[in-house]
Amino acid sequence: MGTKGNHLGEFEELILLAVASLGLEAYGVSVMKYLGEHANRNVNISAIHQGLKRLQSKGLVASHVGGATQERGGRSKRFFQLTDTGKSTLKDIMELKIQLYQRVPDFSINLI
Amino acid sequence: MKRAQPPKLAERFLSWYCDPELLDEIQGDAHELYFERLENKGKRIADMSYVYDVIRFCRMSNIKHTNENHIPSYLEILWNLNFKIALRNAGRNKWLFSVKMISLSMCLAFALLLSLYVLQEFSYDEHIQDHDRIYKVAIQAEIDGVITKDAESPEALASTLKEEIAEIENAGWYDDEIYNFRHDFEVNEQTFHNEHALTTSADFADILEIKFLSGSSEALNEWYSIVLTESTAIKFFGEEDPIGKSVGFNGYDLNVVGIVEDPPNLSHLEFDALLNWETFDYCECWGGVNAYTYMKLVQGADINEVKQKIDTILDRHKTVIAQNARFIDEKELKVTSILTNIGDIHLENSLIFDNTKKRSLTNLHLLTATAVLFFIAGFVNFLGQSLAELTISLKRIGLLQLFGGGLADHSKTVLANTLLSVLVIFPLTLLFYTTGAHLAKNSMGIMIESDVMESRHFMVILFGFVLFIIFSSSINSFVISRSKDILTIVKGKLNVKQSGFHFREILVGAQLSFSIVMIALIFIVVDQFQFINEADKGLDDKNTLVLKMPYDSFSNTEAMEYSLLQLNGVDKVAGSSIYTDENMWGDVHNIESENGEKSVIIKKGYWGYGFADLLGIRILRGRDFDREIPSDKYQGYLINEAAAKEFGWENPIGKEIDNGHVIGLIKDFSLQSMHKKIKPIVIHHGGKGDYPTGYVFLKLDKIRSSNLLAQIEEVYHEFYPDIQLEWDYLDASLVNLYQQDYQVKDIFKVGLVISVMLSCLAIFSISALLLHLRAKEMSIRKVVGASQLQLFGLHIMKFAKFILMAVFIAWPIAFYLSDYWLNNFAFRIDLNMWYFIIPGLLTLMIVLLTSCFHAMKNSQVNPIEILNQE
Repeated sequence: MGTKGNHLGEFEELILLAVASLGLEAYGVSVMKYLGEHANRNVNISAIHQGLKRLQSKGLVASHVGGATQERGGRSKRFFQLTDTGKSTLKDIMELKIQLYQRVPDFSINLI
Repeated sequence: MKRAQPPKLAERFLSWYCDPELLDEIQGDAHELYFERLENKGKRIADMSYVYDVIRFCRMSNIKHTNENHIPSYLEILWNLNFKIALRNAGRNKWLFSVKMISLSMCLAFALLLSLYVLQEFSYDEHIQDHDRIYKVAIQAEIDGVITKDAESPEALASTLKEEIAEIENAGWYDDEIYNFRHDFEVNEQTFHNEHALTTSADFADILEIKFLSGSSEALNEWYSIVLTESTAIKFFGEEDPIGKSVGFNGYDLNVVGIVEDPPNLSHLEFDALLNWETFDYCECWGGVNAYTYMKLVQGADINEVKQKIDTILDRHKTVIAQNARFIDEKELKVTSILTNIGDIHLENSLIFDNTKKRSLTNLHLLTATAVLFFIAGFVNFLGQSLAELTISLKRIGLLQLFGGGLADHSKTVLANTLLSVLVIFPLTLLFYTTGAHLAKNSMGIMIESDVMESRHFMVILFGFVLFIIFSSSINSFVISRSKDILTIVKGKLNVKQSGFHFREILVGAQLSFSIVMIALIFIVVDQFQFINEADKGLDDKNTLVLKMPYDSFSNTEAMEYSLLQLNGVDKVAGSSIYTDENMWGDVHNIESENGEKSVIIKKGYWGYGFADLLGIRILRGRDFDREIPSDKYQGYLINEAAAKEFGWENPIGKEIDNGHVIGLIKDFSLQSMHKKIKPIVIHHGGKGDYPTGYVFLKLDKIRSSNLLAQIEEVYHEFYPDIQLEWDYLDASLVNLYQQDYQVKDIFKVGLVISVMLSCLAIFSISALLLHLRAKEMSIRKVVGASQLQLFGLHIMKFAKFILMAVFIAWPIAFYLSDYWLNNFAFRIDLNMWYFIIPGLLTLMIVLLTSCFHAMKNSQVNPIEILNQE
């Protein structure tokens, strides 16, 4: 993992958060719907796949195949879960953000 | 019920490009979304979103990629190398390859241009939306068995049609001869001469869907209104807004009330201005047969029923319409309508007083046939060449087959070759096409409209072109796949019966017959024109100047003629109503016959004194009008041979016509195109009834001063100061009559060059092939003692078969086409067998010359080198 891999894009971050909150049910379509509902981001399914793939190559998520259902025509899903690195990275990022946010004068109290 | 499924095509596309490892999850997700949308938003949206998703999934990371450890199979190598091989083959025979490509592209570009040209001629007036229900009404008068077809119709016809016949939605008319007015316009004290104006009404503009850029067609119904075309408006007023300005026209002050688009190039009618007809004091009456009438039917109306109704109306007014038949018993008179769809006006035969752009259908058919021949020849050539390449590379293919290459995969080798050819041919064709279009425009005056290129028909032709290439590239692999014997293939031979070579012989035969047809056609076309040029027109058209006269009588123009005669360099001057146009009406003449007096309709013309002498028209018997004999002017008539024959007069001199008698028999002469027969004609003296002098003819000295024309113009302006002088040289305007025939000739000349080149090429490649295939045979023959000459002969003899085959295919085609074309002329050459034998011999020469090179090579073969190889 190179140094570049440590930086997460905004969209990747959202996906990472979505995977984290979906727990065991995180796969392409569910992540897409989650982002649509909670983050108000309507994106194409292929973008989600792309993001997940990138996260996996950065070692932040791991995947396994399973869960074929009727509506998928018997095709299996690829489920994603946060790896330990993923969890700590997410934690680092959020902490960093909150820390930076709190340094903003006046602002923080009013908003939260 | 079957469950709805995602679009199949998208599905297949996905599984085609997608990496198999990822396919399951991607397809699964896509399906899940699809069925969800299907339930919520309906099938259409679900389908569309699915297709969109599939396209969005098509990313580098999802696309199938070859494993780095993947070992390419033989076929893959073949495929990857094929292109390189094809390129190398091309590079090795640089010269041959480039000539091949160039000639083929030229052939195709030529065929494309030709078909565009023909298409263009067939698509006149298609810019009018309802063109299929717009008709032009012309009049056919049958008087005592003599039929006269007049493009004009009575002015009252249009309004009557509109009122009385329910199937007619609208009818309107225009006239282009506003009495004897010259079409001179005065704008801001400037005079414009060359504008062509029509007097008409709003109905006409509506029917022809003339587009108004400002104003509306209604305005055309106001008195003193004039509507200009866009370009005329710019010419008259420049940048100013022309609406409301006034234009002077023969003493009238006209108001510009509207601007219309220029008539498109593919319109049968040209005009620069439209005028309100009522201003010029017409009545819409039945007697004035001056109008060009158009009508638009309601949707679904039956044209035959409408014609019957029109004919009944015309029958009511027939005696008024055909005034020249007033002496004839009413029963002998029939007036009917000729209805022509607006799209066909351009191609129909010219009627009397027809002022529209015409094109002879026969010429177009000949050109269509040529275009088809060229398309076929181009592809035959293409097929032949790829077959040749195939035959030469047979050994390689055989070896590859031995190493496990399947038969179907050889199509890939061939395909690579074809692909290379196509990659070269397409841009080349485009290049030749553009150059050709440019050349045609500049040196032949043939314009090709861009609209035609977008037309449906042209798309069909292009599609055919692409299909043909695909077809011809797959035929090679078909040939290969039929010969299953790998061993013979390895030896570099195809089983003779199934071989491409057999097929090739047919191809080359077809190619050769194509050139024979082209050579024969060009011979015949050139000969026919030679024949027409040298044919006895019965007059001398050299050094003859023709002045167009304003509407003025013979007696009035005599003074000007006298002044012109005083000029140094003018030899003779005479007036006449006859010129190259066909505006000679038949009129009733009462002639003497065995059973007393008889009325006949014969065309009439007017001459002044000395006209026959001026034009060199020979008087066979009697005399021309004589100034010294006053009765000639009022009671003298001249008739031509055709008329004498028609009347059955052996010696016509002294026979009675009307109140006078025939004083001279003139030799048949023709001031018209030789497409037409010479008609019977009676010549009156122009001074008799103060008829208008149509034209003044001047015979000039061969050696004349260069400013003679200026002097003539000066004299003319002394008499007609306000009128622009229009003049022609007679020989030039006679040549102009054949302009479209000359276009055909030019096209054929170009075609000839291309076709000869094409056949040279075909022969060259087949003789190269023969050399390759028979090298061993020749070597053995040589070893056993054949002389070089014998070997040379053997090689040449092989082609005799082709020629024989070609000749038998070509002759009937050439005969049919040329006979069809020649029937278009009243004066035509007779087809004799030399027209067919000479092209055959010429083709033989071409064959011998082109194959000579290889025959020489063949006969000089060194047996040791060849036989050593195996």
